[in-house]
Amino acid sequence: MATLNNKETAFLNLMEVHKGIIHKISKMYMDTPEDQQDLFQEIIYQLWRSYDSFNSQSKFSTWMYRVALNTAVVFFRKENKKISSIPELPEHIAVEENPSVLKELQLAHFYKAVQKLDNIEKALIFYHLENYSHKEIAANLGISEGNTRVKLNRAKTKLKALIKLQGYEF
Amino acid sequence: MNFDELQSAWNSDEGKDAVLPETLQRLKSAHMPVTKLRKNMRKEFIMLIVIFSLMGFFPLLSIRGVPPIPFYAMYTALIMLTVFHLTKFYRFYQRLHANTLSSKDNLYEVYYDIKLNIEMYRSFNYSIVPLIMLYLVMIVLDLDHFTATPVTPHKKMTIVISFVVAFIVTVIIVIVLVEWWVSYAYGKYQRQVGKLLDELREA
Repeated sequence: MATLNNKETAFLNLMEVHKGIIHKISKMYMDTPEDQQDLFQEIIYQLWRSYDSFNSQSKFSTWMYRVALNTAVVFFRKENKKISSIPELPEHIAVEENPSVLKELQLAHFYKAVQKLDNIEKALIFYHLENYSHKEIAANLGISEGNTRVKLNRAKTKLKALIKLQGYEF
Repeated sequence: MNFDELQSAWNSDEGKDAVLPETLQRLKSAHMPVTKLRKNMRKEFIMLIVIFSLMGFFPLLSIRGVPPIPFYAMYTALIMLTVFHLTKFYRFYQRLHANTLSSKDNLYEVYYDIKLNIEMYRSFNYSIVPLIMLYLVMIVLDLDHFTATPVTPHKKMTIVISFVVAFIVTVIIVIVLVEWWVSYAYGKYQRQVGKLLDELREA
């Protein structure tokens, strides 16, 4: 029992450090706060269930990204649930003077646009934003490096067009 | 905005709103395809167990045409078949699915898990059909249970033909219903995962 508690504590400590990235994955894959919360919980559950397979020799974040994205990619949102409205993007306030407001605005446009990408394209964009090389992305997705390059470029072009469609310069 | 600026905004998003569950013991999987499949099938099996339990009392109603021996022979075979399949489903669901594979391998594993599950479900439903046939044959062989007076050969032939027609119609209805239900209730998971695998194909 004590071992289980120690293991749980160690796991929760790791989650405390990495919860931000899981939250970001949830926001990329789900559009409503309720679905984002469900996905967030599901990822934590799947990580906990697979925790024994984590080899401490490798990087925790690499292992975590793989489990989290594998979960997000096949996640099913609740059926027959009333879809709550997506929060409106912030108005064009004087963002130039306030960098944090500017970043918030950019992220709001990004999260709104990324919802329209396919699940695999979302995974590609995520790895790209996390500075993974084509080779690393290919290994995590299980596809060739060439295929990764082509698909990532397509996903970036699509994302750019979607953000532009929202009236934001990209 | 360009991708460098987006990256900078992305890095600045620390996800402070995220709230971790207080304990992990109460966490449950609810939205994964295999979990959903299991949940739906569990409901069906509970319903089936209730129906089969009630069915056991059927001959006690003493309805003419329901001779108890063929009925209980069919009923025993039905229970054995159900237990066999339920054990298989239980073992299947106990198997832990590793989601630490690459996305493509993980999707293949989920895809074939769903496919296997659906095939097991189909085989269970279709295995009931020969039992119905056997039951009908046993009734036909014991036609005197139907009528108070002995059955004439001509009438017997009419009844046999009616049974054969009823059997064929039943088989067609069972096939149509099972296929429709599989596609409606379970096929959607297989289709969605299949679509994801298509997205991973070479560009």
